[in-house]
Amino acid sequence: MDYHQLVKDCLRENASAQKQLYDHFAGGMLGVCYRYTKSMIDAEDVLQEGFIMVFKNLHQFRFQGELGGWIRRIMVNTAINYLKKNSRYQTDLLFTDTMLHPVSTDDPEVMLNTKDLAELIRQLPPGYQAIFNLHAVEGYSHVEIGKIMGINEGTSRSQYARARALLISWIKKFSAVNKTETYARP
Amino acid sequence: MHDPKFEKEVQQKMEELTFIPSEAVWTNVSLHIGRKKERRLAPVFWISLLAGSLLLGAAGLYLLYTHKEHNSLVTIRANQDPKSTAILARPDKNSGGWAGHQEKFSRSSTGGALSDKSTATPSVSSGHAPENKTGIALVDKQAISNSRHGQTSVIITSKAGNTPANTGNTSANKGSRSGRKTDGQMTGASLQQAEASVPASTDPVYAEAGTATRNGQSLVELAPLDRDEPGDLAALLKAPFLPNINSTAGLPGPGANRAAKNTNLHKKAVWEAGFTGGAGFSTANERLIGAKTSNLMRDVVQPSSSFAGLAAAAAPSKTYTSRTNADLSFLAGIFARRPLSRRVAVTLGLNLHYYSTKVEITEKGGYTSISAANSLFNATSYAAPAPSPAPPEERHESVNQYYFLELPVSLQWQVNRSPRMPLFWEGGLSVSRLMSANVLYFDVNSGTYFKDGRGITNSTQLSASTALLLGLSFRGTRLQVGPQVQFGLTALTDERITGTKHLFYGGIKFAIIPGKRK
Repeated sequence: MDYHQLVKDCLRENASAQKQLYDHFAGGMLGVCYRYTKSMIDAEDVLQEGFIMVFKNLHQFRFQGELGGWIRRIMVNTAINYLKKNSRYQTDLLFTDTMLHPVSTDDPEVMLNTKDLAELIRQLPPGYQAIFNLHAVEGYSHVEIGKIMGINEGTSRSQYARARALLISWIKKFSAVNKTETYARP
Repeated sequence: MHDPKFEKEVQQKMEELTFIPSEAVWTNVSLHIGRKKERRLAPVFWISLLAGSLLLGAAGLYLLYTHKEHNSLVTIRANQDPKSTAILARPDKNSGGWAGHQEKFSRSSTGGALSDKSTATPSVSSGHAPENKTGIALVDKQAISNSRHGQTSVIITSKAGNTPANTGNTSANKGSRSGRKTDGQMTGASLQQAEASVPASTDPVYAEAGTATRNGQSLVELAPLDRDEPGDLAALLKAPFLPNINSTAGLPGPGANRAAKNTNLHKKAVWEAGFTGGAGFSTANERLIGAKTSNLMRDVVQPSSSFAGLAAAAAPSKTYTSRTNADLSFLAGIFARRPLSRRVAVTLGLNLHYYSTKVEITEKGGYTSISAANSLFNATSYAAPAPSPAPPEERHESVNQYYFLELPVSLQWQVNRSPRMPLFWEGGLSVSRLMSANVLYFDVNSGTYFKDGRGITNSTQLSASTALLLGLSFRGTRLQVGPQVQFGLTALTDERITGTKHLFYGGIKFAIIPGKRK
């Protein structure tokens, strides 16, 4: 797809081009939003606000990077803002644990499929969930996460270590259950 | 340092995570994009509306300024016929109210004083004028039909060469003159411009005008003009007129501003004070828009039977056309405003409003003209070339001035909801009191001009006004500016004397509400 032309058409307020852009990225971006929220409804709300922001700020896209990456960053920022604004997430986003927690060196093989893994991530507390997604999936540094979330770097590291350990334990349990079920099957 | 193998696997798997969003998401997104377009178009709409309003106001001012109100016409025709006759256009007794006010003056050709005798001129309704008494028909049927626009004209014809021998004939030899009711103000003065060739011109044309009283009001008459003096009209116009100073109450000014809305004015409901002002043009018209159907012209126009006299007129005639043009007007005052709701506010004010109209009399020779104009947007003039070349025309101007003290009451409604550029529509009434005036009036009954301070002017005026104002804010001070028009609901003067006159004002208004600098 010629993103360059597509963006130009969208800037001309071509409705079909806008729809084409939306259709092309909406599925993946909804997956991003899904990882940051607790329900599909919230995820779609974030997706909607995110795409509104995309079309509103599309003129700022300079074609210096991937269009998908640019849209993804908008979606992530929109999701974080959504979490901050939504009262259901605000209490869980309070980070009081500033103690450092060593990151586990345990790197279990992730045998889960994509949706199962996403479901486990979504089971994390919202604070853990956001930081885990930002660091492990999006690749943000803890400094960047600290700025985004309004916390210091140490808190981000601590929260991430806890989230990672928690998720790994869940993955192990989930894998064990599936393995048992597999063995149990005739 | 741990191996980020776990993170890579998670990242890889999450890249594959996709869902199909519901249709509602795109619907809402597209709707929001559409609303964004509407919001983008909204300023264009309001700016266009404002520009259109300003353009309309400017066009109105242009019309006001360029409007030529041919209030009256006086034509004096010289004829070599030894049996000179003077024809006075006479009111149609059957034509209505005007006939009752009509006065007819006949002037002796021997130089006698102007008498109050009515000439034997037949009425228009009769359709015929005796040839011995009516000398010249000045208008044709077309002019008659065109005169139905409420125009007033005075037509005086006097055949040149009148000699003392003519004095024996009272009706035919006397130079007769008629003052015709006109909407204009200055037609009658030109009556004095009887040509010097007419011996009767030695008579003071307006001898009795100096003592004229109208409806119990003493009219300050201009000095009687000698018919022998060709410059009578000029002298009349150049005479120092007593300044009329009328104070007019200004238009209601200020309105609610968006900033006031932001401070919950509807809750506080406090009075605000400010200054208002404006400048533009004013005029005095019979009606605001549209021509008035009037039969006044029939009082003046001779029937077609007298066209023979027109053909017989070999000598050039003189025409005096009086026009009332728009002139400068301005107002200044203070106001207090109280919001009634978020978008509606009531305003009380006190303004000093200056109106002025310019009266222009043009003297033309060799033409017989019929002019008609009584409304703001209607002006028609007809002219037929005379047999001889026309001498250069002369113009004389006089400015009528009024000063009114106004008490405007108005409601102001915020049309849009824009906090940056609120648009207000304002409408209201104002009661005004004439403080001073310097006016040259034309008495339609006697055909004379007279100065008047406050004699026949209705001192109390009721006016309606409307304005479209754009709100601006500078460091806490709110400014509203936009076009404004005001029309006098009550007659400016005694209609029985000068005809129906209403003040009209159009200009740019501004209102300032001082605020605390933030």
